[in-house]
Amino acid sequence: MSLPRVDPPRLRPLLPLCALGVALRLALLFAGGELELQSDEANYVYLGIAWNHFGVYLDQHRYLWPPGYTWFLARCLDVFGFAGILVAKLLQILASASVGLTTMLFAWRLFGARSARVAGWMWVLYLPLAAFTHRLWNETLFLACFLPALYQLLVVLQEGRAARSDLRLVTAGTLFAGALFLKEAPLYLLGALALLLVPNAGSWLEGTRRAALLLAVVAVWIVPWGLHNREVYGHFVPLGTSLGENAYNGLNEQYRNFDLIPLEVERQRRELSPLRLEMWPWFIAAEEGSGWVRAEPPQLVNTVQRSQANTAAGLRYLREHPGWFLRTRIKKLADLATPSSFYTRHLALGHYDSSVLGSPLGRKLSALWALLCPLAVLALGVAGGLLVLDDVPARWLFGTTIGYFLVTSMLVAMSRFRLPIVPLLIALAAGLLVHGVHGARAERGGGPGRGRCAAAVGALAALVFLWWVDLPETWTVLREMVWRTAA
Amino acid sequence: MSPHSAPRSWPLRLAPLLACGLLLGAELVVAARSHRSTEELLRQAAAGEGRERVLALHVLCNRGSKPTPQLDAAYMRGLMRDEDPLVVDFTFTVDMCRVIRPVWQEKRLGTWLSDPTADYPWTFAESWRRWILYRRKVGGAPLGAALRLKNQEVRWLLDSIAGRPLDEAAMHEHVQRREAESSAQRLHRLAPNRRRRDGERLPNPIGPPDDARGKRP
Repeated sequence: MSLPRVDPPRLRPLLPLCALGVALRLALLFAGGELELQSDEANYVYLGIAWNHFGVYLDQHRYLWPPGYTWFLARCLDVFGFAGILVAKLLQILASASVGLTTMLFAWRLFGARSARVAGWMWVLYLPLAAFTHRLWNETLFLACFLPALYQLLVVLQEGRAARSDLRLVTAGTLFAGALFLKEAPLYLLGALALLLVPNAGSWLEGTRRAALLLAVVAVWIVPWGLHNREVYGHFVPLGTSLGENAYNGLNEQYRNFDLIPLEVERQRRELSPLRLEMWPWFIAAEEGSGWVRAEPPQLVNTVQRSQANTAAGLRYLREHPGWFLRTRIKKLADLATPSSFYTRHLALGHYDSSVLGSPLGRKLSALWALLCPLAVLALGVAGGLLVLDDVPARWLFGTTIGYFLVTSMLVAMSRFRLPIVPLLIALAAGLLVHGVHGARAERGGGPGRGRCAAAVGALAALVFLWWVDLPETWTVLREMVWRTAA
Repeated sequence: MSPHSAPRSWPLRLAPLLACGLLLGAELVVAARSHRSTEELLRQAAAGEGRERVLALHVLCNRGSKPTPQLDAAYMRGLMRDEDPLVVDFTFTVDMCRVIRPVWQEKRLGTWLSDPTADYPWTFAESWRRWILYRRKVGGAPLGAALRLKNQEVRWLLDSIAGRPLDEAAMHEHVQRREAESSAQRLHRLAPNRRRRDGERLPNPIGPPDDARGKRP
């Protein structure tokens, strides 16, 4: 049984909400004022300027990031000078329209026009996502490519034998490649998504052809950069590699969460106690003295080989500490599901202090709102996925995508890493809000069934448990750094 | 075509795959033809236009398991005395500092930092640009980097690259302040404050900071 067939989505009714979202993000940009560069923002700017100056893309010593975002910033800085930073942010705000539109299209396709409007409002008001549009992180541009690619795949999966699948697959592949140039994380997701195409095309042969076409289109776009890496580093790395450094951070004695590292530095400066002392020790404890040190020059100069050596060391550590691995992964999941976000982190760091958002009232209200957004969307989205999502191809697509990002976050996790799944959760949450458990029951002449209800209750209980795991440090940051400004 | 239209024949269905295959083949051919050997790169790094030389150095520094033997300390000192300012700038980047420990870069910048107004082989703009390229390099704490770029530093860096007039006094003061800041941060890590010390007396589930001990991978 499934929800009644919905009308095919239409773009026009969604455009006003899309424009509203863009306008609010624009307002946020100007309300925030000129923000100081933070962490990777400074790195991207340095790399962009260096690319313009030298004509080569320098690596990040411990990472080999895909070149997309640096290239984007380099172009902005080259044409507009320092104002290029503002131009980049404006372009990101425009690109966020793609995120909003696709979120609404997902909701429409799965749950109807009303759900699309609800999803639209949720996207408009989702502050942690909106805040990324005025920061120099690649998430907005990544989502602007990644989500439409997923949407095209959903349509192909749903329509089965549809004759226009080739055009959609070429579009999906091109957008997916664009997303990979910004963030290589979903590289292996591509294989899983291609596999989904095989049994959903009417025949296995046609399904295999479609899967091959998707992979081939992505390959056409990304192979040149892989060949460039082969020429420079002597190894074929399709886009970039973060695995070694992530293994160092995630499969090692010391607990690391990049949401908290800048906060720890700031807390040292303000003479506040370290956050790690606030955490529940059981979730982060490791065998004393068991840690390993990164491969560094001069022993190992080649960036790709250093990454490989660190990956091997991380895996060795995992094999030697299986119990530690299972226990500490709970904390990783908690870090992924944390209600805090980069917006609250940057409020805590004092980036917004000179703006209206950093005023005593502004910071309290906006921080509360920023905390409520993920709490609501995670809870409603998870419940929606389990209770009202009946479309089988969508369940496979959403399940694979969400599952993939959950698994990759087992290595290193932070609030930023959940962003690729947030728009999907918004669509699911909108479906639940519009149809409700009972509404769906009435429409289907049945109900979600005991098994699905039990799964939803279990998932929500797990979510609440994960929030409890991160509660001590989240509360401390909120109380001592977000609520209060630095003296 | 509507979803219900007649299915295309298989040769037609395979056409997009064939097109992708041809494109991939072309990409491989172009890459194979543009490959340059170490000898060619060394020749290119020695003569030619600045950007071409930098490109050659970039590959020489990164390719292979071990650095190209020719890139030794004498070669580095030669590059730092090069007539092309772009090549000299490049010696302060992560590529070059990774291959040979940046002793000379530290020395040169140390001299400038102690007295930026002294008679010096580099202009103020060049010295300042090299200080930024060196100190703000990405991920390069073991290679001389400290702290991250600030907006004002970005402005001055762009000005120095573009050859625009610079406020040398303000920049000099800024450099001194930021160097003191990075020293303070280093010292802070070495000597924790009382609250941190007290904190570390508690049973520490995490253990001492990494990099202090541990096994090499």
